[in-house]
Amino acid sequence: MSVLVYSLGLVFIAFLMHLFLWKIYLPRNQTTVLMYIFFGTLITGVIVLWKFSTSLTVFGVSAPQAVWEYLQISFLFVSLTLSYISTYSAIAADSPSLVMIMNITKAGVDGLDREKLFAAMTDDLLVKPRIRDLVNARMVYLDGDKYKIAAKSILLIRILILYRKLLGIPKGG
Amino acid sequence: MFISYLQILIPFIGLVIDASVQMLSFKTVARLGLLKSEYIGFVAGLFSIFLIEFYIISTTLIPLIDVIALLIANLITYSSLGYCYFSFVNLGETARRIRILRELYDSKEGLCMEKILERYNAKEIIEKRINRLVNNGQIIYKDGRYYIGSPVMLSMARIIVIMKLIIFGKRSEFG
Repeated sequence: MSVLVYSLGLVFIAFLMHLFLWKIYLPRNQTTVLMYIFFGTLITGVIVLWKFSTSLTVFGVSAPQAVWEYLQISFLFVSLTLSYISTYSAIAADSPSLVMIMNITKAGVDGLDREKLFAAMTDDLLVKPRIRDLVNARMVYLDGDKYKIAAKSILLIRILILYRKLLGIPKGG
Repeated sequence: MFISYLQILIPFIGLVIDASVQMLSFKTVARLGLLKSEYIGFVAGLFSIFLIEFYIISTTLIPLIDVIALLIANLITYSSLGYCYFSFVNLGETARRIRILRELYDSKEGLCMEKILERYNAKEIIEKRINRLVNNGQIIYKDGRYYIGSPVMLSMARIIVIMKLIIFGKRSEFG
């Protein structure tokens, strides 16, 4: 029971800190700051729990005692953090599919004209902001007027290309 | 002691089974599609977790309340890992940033904005998504107009808008 209570409690604390920080200041590189908040909370939380493990009780549940419990708390916390971070980019950026769905919904029973749908969604809305995100995250850099891929993005792209080649899937997007 | 450490490994065993079954089913079953192979992989991983947990319950004397709590913890960990794998697979399928990175990776000299937009642009993005949504029955195309076909995507869109409001205090990244 302690694994469940304390890991979910730590995730809740990290999420509240993230919400609070976002209300006062929206960081430029949001994913990196999210990682600092969540992993900082995990490390601090585990140290505090370990130090007060004999005396701490939350909602009648004693703090974890064994090493395997701390490992399980860490794995549960990290898996929830990674799934939140992977969802976060979909929340921060407007997904084209969801924008289309909302536009069609707004059109009501008459439906949405094909030309109007295409006209509402331009490169300025769909492509250029994502290039800016990549530059802000330093995954892409500008060399004169040319955008070039940064060294730290190459490994990610190679893994994705390898995976898609294994399954025989063409370029997505 | 062994059982305690086995409990930690269970979600990872589930993830390995999830990924293996997903890749195998996608490669071997014609016309299965990426999405369906992901669902099959996830269910296979989930099934393996229940099997291992059943083995642990039947061979040890752990109190029932602790067994349920550990099972819930493992199911949350596995579901989160499975979701991360799902996101990884879909990253290459739908993510615009990944597609842009791929175009830049393919062009060693780099690309100016005009060249990027020649290779990847709003028209292509919309057409791919419209086709996917029509094929999945999420929207209906009739007489040059689009209509909502299924409420599933609409519900997802509303949930995401609510999350945007909670986190950013606005409905869209453009205000």
